[in-house]
Amino acid sequence: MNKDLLLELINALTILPGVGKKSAQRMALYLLDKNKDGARILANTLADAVDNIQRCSSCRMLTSNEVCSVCDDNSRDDLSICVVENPSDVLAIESTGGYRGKYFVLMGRLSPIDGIGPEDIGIDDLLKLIESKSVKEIILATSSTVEGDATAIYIKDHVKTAKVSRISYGIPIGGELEYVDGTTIARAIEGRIEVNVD
Amino acid sequence: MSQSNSDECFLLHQRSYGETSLIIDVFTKKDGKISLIAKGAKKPKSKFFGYLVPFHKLSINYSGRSELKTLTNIDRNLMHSKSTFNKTSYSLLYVNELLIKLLPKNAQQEDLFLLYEKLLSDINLNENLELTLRRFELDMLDTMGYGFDYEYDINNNEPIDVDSSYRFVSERGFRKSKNATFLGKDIINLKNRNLKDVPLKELKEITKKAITFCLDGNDLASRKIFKAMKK
Ligand SMILES: [Zn+2]
Repeated sequence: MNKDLLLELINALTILPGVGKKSAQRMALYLLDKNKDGARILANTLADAVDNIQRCSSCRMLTSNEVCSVCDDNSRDDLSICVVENPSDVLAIESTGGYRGKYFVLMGRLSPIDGIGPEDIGIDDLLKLIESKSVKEIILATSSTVEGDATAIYIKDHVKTAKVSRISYGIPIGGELEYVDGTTIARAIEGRIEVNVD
Repeated sequence: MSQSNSDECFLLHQRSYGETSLIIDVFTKKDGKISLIAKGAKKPKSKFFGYLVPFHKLSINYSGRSELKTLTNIDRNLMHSKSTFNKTSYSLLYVNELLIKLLPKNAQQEDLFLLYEKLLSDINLNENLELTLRRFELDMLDTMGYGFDYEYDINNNEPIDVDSSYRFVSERGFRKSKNATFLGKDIINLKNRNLKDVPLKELKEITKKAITFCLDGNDLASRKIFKAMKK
C-alpha cells in the first residue's frame, strides 16, 4: 500500500497542543490547497528551527545563537538574574517590558516524586553564573506550587553572595476578593507590602 | 448516571494531563490512594484552581467506575493553615514520596490516613522534627504490616534481654550480636515509642533500612535532596 501523505500530515499536526483531528484536517487542507507558499515557508522554518535551536550557553533559554538576545543585550543589567521554570515564563515577563535584568531558565522544577533533583534543573550552572558575574540580585519567579516553592527554597539556601527575593503572588489587578481562592488570599496577606503615599 | 462518592483526602502528587487538566493522586480516608482527573484545573477560572494543594485536608466529590475517576467538587478548611513553604515542608515532600511509592491503589488504609493527619499537625508544633518523622515511619511500617518483632530474638525466639546487645535485621526484627551497640532496653523504648531515649544514629539506620527494604532497595529522591539542603 502506498503511504498517504495527506493522512500523515494530518496525524503529524495533531501533536500540537489543543489540535485534534478536526482542526488538523482543516490546517492540512488550508496549507496544501489555499496557501502553498506559506506552507513551504512554514516547513523550511520549522526544519531550520528544529536543527538549529539550542539552549543559550549562559541562561539556558532557547536560541539559535550561542547566546540568546537577552544575554547578548549590553544595555541590560548583568547583576540581576530572574530565575524561571520555562522558556514561556521568559516570554511572559519580556512581554511586560518592565524587567531589564537577565534570566536563568531551569527547564523544570524540583520534584522528588518525579525523580527531578537539583542536577536536572541546572542549579550548579546557576550558582557558577552568580559567582562568575558577581551577580547582586536573584529574583525567584518559580511557580506557586509546592515544587516551585521547594525549588525557590533550595536556591535561596545555596546562594550565599547575592540578595534573593521571590516575586509576590496575590490578587489579580481588577479582581474582586470574593472570587479569589482562599490559598491565594492567604498568600497575598502574607506577602503584604506597606502602603506608600508619596 | 455514575455513582458519586464523597471523601476526605490529602493530595500526594499531581501531573499535567493535556493543556488544562491535571491527574492527581490523593490519599483518601475511605479508599486509600486513588487517581482522579481534575478537568480544566489549570485554568484560573476553574473551581479547582488554588485548591489542589498538598498537606491540607480536602473534602472531595468524585464519580466514575474506572481506574481513573473524575473529580467533581472540592473544598477545604482553611483554618490553621500555613501557606508558606519552609524547610519542614521538605520532610513532608519526603513523606509524600514515601506514600506514593508504598501505598497500594484503591485499598483502604484508614489507620495510616489518621497517622498522616496527625503527622501534619505534629510537624507544626515545632517538636523535634526528626523524632516526629521517625515515629511516623515506625507507625507506618506497623500499620502496613511491615512492623518488626520487638519482643523476641528472631534467631532463637528468646525474649529480648534488656542488657544484651542486638543487631537489626531488615523487616523482621533483632538478633543478639556481641559487637552491636543497640541494647535490649533500646528495643523496648523503640516498641513503646520512647524515641527520645533511643540512640538517634541507630534509630535513623533502623528506619532507613526497614523502609529501603519495603521499597525493594530503591532510594528516595527527596532523601538525596534533603541531604543536599543540610550542607
Ligand atoms: Zn541567554
